[in-house]
Amino acid sequence: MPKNKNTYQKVPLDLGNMPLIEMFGNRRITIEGSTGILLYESENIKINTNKIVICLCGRGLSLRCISNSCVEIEGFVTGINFIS
Amino acid sequence: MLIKLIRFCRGYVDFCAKGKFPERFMNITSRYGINLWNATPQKGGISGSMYLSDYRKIRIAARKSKVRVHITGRTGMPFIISGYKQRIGLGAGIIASVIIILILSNFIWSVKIVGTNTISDTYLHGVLADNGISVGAYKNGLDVESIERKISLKIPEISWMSINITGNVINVEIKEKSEKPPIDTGTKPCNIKARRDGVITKIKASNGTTKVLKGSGVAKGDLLVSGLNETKLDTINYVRAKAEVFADVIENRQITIPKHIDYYSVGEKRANRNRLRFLWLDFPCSVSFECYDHSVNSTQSQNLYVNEVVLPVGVSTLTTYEIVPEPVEVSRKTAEQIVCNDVLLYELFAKPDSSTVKREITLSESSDAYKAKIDYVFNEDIAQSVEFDVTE
Repeated sequence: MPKNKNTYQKVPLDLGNMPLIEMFGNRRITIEGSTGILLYESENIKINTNKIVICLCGRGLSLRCISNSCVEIEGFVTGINFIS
Repeated sequence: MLIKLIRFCRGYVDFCAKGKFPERFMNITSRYGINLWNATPQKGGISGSMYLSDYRKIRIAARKSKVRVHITGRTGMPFIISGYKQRIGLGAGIIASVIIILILSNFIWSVKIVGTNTISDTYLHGVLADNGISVGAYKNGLDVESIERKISLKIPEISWMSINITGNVINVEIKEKSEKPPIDTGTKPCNIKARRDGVITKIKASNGTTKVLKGSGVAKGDLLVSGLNETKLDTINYVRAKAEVFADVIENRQITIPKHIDYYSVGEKRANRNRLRFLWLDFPCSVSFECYDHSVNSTQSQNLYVNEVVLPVGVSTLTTYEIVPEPVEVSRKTAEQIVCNDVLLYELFAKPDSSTVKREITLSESSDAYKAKIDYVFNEDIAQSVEFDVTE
């Protein structure tokens, strides 16, 4: 047990440039800190952020609103993948 | 809802962007600070909505992302306005009406008075106008509290008043004072003496020594109730006598009714002169040159109402009626009727506190007039307080 604890303590916590993801169930997702949309389809949306690419899978996905650093996605989300 | 309203006011377009890199188009537009909404993926592109002002900036983004953008729908106020661009009068009318409303909202449109029973509304309107509250006055310059104080001091019958400005209407609420009962504030001793000749029928003495009895006849100036009270020690107390002494008093009147009377009655001829009122301004609308030797005038004012709101526009009509003299021969029956009416009016208004015990009317006729002799017996209070000096 003490070994595991030490392992967790060693994980660097650099949250400065991480995107902020807000989810309302699996129907609406707001991502703050996006730098661009890489793919936009009704079943698959890929959003680029500073460090990772967020890949959303689902049905009937659509971008509700896009601004400079914020994206709001609506639809039935079945999966989220983080590609780093 | 608010967002929808803002979008409608600013105007927005529905567009369809088709080409090689629609995602890049979205990225570039968002980098330019252009907000997109309802972005929906379509075959070979995307569709969405953006503000009209933003649509003019996307040409570079479309070229860089190699997409062709075309508008599929236009919504909002700018498109509605552009539809009426040719109709300059409509726009000018809207602007003029807004300016007129802005100007007129600074003036008083009507003055309403609530709560008056004995004070005349016309008199109050006059007093309010003297203090600057009248139709057409500039409402922002009114010091309501000061006006309330001034009017309360000027009209002693007012116990409380409040002037409320509601939009362009001034509501004046008034509470009147209840009338004070007469209070005897005298301190000197006094007697009660007879004000008129008569026969005593009732005495209600609350202070003093009664000197007369029921049924005794008294002359004007006789002592009825004395202010001197003798004590058991043979000394005298001076008091302020107070009593109500009712007596039957005789009164005679004579009325002369000429046999030929000129009655003045309203004839058929009349002239109307209309004036249009707008705030404090008054414009003549119709002109009438008719003129009568004898005439009476009446004025009728009507204001324009919209949803129970009085507008500062109205018409006042001054009607001049011709008065026609009509010679009338008075018959004996008519003379009797005139006398009866006169007697009733006299008893009602000249003798309101007296009760009539007896009334006898004798009508005689001469060559040119009827003469009525009326003998009354009234029962009334003949007590009169007369102060006296102790040294007398």
